[in-house]
Amino acid sequence: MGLETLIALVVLLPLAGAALNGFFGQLHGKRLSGYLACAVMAASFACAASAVAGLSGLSPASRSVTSVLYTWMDASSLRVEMAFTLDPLSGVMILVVTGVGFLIHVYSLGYMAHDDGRVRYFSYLNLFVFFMLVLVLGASMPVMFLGWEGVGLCSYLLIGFWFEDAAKATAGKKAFLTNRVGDMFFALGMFSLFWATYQAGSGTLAFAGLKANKHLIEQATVGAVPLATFAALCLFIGATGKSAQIPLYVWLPDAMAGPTPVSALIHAATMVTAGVYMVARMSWLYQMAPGVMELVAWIGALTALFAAAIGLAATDIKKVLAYSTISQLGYMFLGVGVGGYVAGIFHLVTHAFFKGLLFLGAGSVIHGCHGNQDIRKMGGLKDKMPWTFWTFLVATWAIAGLPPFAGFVSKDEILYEAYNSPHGSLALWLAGVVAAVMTAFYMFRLFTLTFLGAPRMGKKDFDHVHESPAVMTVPLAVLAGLSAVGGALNLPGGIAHALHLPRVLSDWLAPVFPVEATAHASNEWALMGASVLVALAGTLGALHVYYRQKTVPVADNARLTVPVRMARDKFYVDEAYDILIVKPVRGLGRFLAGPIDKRVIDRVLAELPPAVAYWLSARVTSLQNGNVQAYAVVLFGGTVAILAYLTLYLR
Amino acid sequence: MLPIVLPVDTGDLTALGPLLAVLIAALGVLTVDMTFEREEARGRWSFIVGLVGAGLAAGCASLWQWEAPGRAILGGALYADAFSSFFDVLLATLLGLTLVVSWYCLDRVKVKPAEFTGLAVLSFSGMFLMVRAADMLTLFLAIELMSLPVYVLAGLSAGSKTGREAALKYFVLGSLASAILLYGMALVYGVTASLGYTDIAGYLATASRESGVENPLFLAGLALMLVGLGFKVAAAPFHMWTPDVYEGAPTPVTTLMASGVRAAAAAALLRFLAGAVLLTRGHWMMLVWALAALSMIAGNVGALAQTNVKRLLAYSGIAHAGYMLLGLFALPRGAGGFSMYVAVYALSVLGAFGALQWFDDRGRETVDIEDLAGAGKRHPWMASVMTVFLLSLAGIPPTAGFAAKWFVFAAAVQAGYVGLALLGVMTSLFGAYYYLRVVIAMWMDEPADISGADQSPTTGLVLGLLALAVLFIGCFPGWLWFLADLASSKLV
Repeated sequence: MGLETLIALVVLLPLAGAALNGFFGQLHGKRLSGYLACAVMAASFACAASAVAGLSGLSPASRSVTSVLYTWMDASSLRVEMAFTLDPLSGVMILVVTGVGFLIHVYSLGYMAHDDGRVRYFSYLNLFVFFMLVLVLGASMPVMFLGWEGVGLCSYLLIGFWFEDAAKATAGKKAFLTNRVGDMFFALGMFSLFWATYQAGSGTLAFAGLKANKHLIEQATVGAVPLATFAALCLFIGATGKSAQIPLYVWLPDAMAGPTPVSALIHAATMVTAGVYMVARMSWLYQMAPGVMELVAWIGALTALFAAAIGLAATDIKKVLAYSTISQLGYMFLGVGVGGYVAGIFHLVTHAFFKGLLFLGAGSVIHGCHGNQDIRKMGGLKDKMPWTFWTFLVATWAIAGLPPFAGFVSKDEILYEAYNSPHGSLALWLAGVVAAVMTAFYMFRLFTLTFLGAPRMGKKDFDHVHESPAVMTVPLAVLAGLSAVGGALNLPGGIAHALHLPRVLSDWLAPVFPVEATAHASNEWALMGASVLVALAGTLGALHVYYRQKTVPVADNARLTVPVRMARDKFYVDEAYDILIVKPVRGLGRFLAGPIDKRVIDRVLAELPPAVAYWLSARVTSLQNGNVQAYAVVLFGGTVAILAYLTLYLR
Repeated sequence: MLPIVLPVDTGDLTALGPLLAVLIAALGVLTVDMTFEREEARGRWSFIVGLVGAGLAAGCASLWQWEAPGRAILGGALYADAFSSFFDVLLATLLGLTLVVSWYCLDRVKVKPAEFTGLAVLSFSGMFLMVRAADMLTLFLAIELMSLPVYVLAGLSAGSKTGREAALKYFVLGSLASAILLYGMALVYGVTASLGYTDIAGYLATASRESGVENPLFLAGLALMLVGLGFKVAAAPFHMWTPDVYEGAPTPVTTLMASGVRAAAAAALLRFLAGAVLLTRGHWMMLVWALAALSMIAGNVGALAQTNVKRLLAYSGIAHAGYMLLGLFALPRGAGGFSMYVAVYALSVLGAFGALQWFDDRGRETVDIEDLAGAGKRHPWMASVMTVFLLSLAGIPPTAGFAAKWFVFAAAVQAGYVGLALLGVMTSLFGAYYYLRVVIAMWMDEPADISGADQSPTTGLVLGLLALAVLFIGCFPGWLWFLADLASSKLV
């Protein structure tokens, strides 16, 4: 099979699965629908793997293969092909999406085994993977946007999967609406790029075409602002929506209303990383807008700090992980913001492994505890759920940044870039380090409260706790393996150099990213040492407080100290948005619907014209009195008028 | 001067085929009427003869080579060209459909089938003559041949007072219009000394301004002729007869008046304006403008308050005359939009009246909107068919009415009459309202207390096919536009 065919298959297989389950799922039954969904994912992963293998067989300079399905739109000046491009960057992404996606599909077989909506669930999940693949493989901005919107739709559908519960449906709505804000800016950025190239006579939206017309975009301006800055900023605002960064992160914690595998796949491993991928994809554009790059780095660093702070106080197992996701995404943006694109993508990959694993582990815990998500009512699950315990430990170890697991290597690379890159600074590095302490702390807090110590639930409940079936634990084990050794993908420069090992990911991605090598700095070992130390400090601190002292977070907010209470209340951001945006918009809506629409528009536009028309109609028809002489008079009148016009007026 | 000896050759006879077929069918029906003893047999055989005539006419017309250049035949009395053939096909279709959709209803309105068929076919033979008339005398003859049977038809319903009243009104006002038309023709003849359209156009082209296009006598004649033809297409302000006559006449007759008569009159109007007096279009374009504007306003506004469907369709017909006239602004490039509009309107309104007849209750005509209440529940198929026709009349996609409106509005806009096109769009909003009122009554109101009649499956099938055709034209208007444009562009 040619590479083009393989690429098309990677994308179309999940779509076929979604269609088969969506249209005929009720016919072939609930059981089969899950197997079908997993089968297309396995096939898609196999295609992706062989496509990437095929790509690696090409010379580094020619590693970009485009598969054109058909012409999507052709409006003379704008021509968009439904085309997918496989290059080293999208190759990494499709392996993550289909690989982790496949594992999570398998896990779902167990997790959703008792749900009546399984057919719908697997159909949505396949559809999500399809759109995610469209997003990462899209050869042009509109195709990427199609995927961008599509994953948003699937996210909405899956967050509100149990839509009978009003709160869950509302969470879906919140995610969708928040994303709309970002999407609008994404579209704006896209339009401005097209405009810049169109003005110069070569309008295009294909990534290759845009990159080739870099100079045109560099020259263009929007008012006094360089167009590159404007477009980069708009696209980044779009990314803050999809990737849950300040100020648009608020939807992600609520998105935990969806089934846990969905949280793992969409809201941890894949969709939320789309923003990072997009910035990396457009790296040439960001290189032209250093101011925006600095903003990206700072937003990332601040989000990492802020979300970690909330994570310190959260008590819902999934909410802790949600804030942790926001925080880790912040790291990725910090990485790409300082120009460490490889570091950002590397962290994206390892994060997909360990955060996917954490969510699946949490799902296993929730599954075993019959729906309980409050870590204050857990504890002592270690012996009841050994598989979950050990795999969760690996993931916690990894995310806390303790060597030698994957999270340590990738996070360390980001911090290294933050300090040494020409775009980096000591302040950015410090923010990252502080967030790292907090990460280690809240993760081991979560781990300890969940698995160690004495059980804090009723004895009867505790007796019912059980390990999850193999269909769920095997994916856990696979992901644990990846979390453990994933760091080998891109060993730290010093180690790779010392051991004469290749830096696989850096070499692989080298053709894609602008060459702006961060000089190999001698401070590498020192920075690494600091990373290890802070991670250890956080870990030991958490173990001391929650394992040694057996502290349990109190239920009553009133007894908390002020900073902790503020963190537990998420720093009142939701409330502030409610007061500043939601309420005024609602008020405006109510005002427009009430006084304006009902009283003014309905009266003036909907009631007045018909009244006038009926009045006129009555006048016109009153001439129609049935009197034939009157008709003749009108006829004569018309005749006379025409005669007069033609013979008198015209002369 | 009229030539006394008419040179006839076989080529001319081919071109006359559709006209002859219908004329012979008309005579055939009269023969049948005299031959058979029993009322039933007379009705059935006259119906068959009429249908065969329509079929033959359509067949002959479609044999015409559309690409061939037009020519005058019979000493310049008639034209043989693609325009005639276009309207031959349309008229033959209308004749066949009129006979089929009316057939089962004639009993209910107490009209004898043989008489109806005979007069209808005779009237249609006038229409076939009218669309090919090449001089004013032939035109007048054709108009009278078409109109006289319709005057009779309007009052044919035995014992119907309103029918008799309608017939009388139609006759009185129609005679008046004929007189005006004839007077106009006399004046034009007086100035140009010719009856043939080509000769008139030739005279105008060669004569000086004072004695030609600006001659007041000629202009007066032109004005009077416009009045006479405007009466036949029911354009305001010569429309006053329409609501009363449409309402009073039996529905089968109204069907014929609304579709066939107006299509033929419109064709004759276009032929005269484009063929004879195109040079003076600077003068009459403003008149067309005024007639179109008045018709769109009077028709649409008048239709708003109607509760009687026949009356409603009469008013809407006036409005459609206005839309149709917009197509004239495409002159002198060829008014394909006009011809297409005529065809689409005639088919849609025939369908609407046909469906209305199908809903006739036993022994009583369906006339009021409330009679149709709940039709969607009782007869969902026929209600759907009726809905298609009404939507087409309202000009809502994907029906043919939308495509046709698009072409006439485009003609007006391209000629620079944006204001008039806007007026057309605004007034058609009214249309959406009153047509939808009928649709809403059919689908959303509770069924009216009517027993349900002996509806004919044949009629239903034919109307269903017609509705499909209307949808088909709406989705693929290109071919009809191509034919209409081809036919109309050769007039000039």
